[in-house]
Amino acid sequence: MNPKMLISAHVDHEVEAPWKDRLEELLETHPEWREEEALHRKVKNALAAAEVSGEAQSQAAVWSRLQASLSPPEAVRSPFVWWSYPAAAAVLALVLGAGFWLGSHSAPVAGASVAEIQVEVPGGFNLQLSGEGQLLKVSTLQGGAP
Amino acid sequence: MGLFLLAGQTLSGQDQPLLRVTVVPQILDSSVQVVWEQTLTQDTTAGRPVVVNLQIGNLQIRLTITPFDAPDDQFLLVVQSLVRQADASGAKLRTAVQSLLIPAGEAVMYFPFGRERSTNSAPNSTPWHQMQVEIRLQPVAQ
Repeated sequence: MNPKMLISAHVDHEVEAPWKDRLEELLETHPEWREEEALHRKVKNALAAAEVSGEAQSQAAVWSRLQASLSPPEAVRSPFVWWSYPAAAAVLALVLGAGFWLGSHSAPVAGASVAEIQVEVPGGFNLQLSGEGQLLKVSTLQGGAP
Repeated sequence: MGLFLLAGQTLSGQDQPLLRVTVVPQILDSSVQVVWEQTLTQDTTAGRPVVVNLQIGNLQIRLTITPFDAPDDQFLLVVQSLVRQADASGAKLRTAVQSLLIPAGEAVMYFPFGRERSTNSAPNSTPWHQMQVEIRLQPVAQ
């Protein structure tokens, strides 16, 4: 296992000896790992600071964060704000995950179900799985931009 | 707490403007021609996700598409993907979250495995395909 994968668990105090000692040695000798650990701590703190309960309230909190990060449009990226994007994404993923969990573990509420569509794609396609997910405007694609 | 949490969004989930989410998963060949597609539509409301589960052989793709109201008649579209690939050696999971501000009616394209821009020019190379998912949001007239 790549010890780097344990950084998140280390932040949550879930890594025990001897892995914990080994990981801390690596953190001392690898500045980029320490940066990643710091990022995980910031995300954890952002999640803890959210102090929200319930799916709707969580979504409102996420929306406030996203709005804050989207405006003003001319904002210049700086080391003080760049981490807020992955933090907002992490909060959103948590909210959506909690929503699904609540949806499957609570009594159905009128109008509160999540629509799921199942699609069976025919076989025989040789799909390329090498890249990361990308979301682009069609107008951007037609303009030839990356 | 008031009933209104976001613009047009209530605790009960009712009396909100309906949004029609059109999702068109497509498979393209190496010459970028669509060889398979299926159009799916689902009505929802801001903040409520639409989930599309695609099964392609040993690949499972779960797309969670959530529109949010945004200023200036736009929507914040959040797409969360989970790709699970199972084979004899086990299963691999890959997750991603992407977001984009879009006006109503404008199409966006989601590439669950990234966007392949090269063409398959070698005559003896194995033909390959890529997947893309067109997504469009449109308010439903009520």
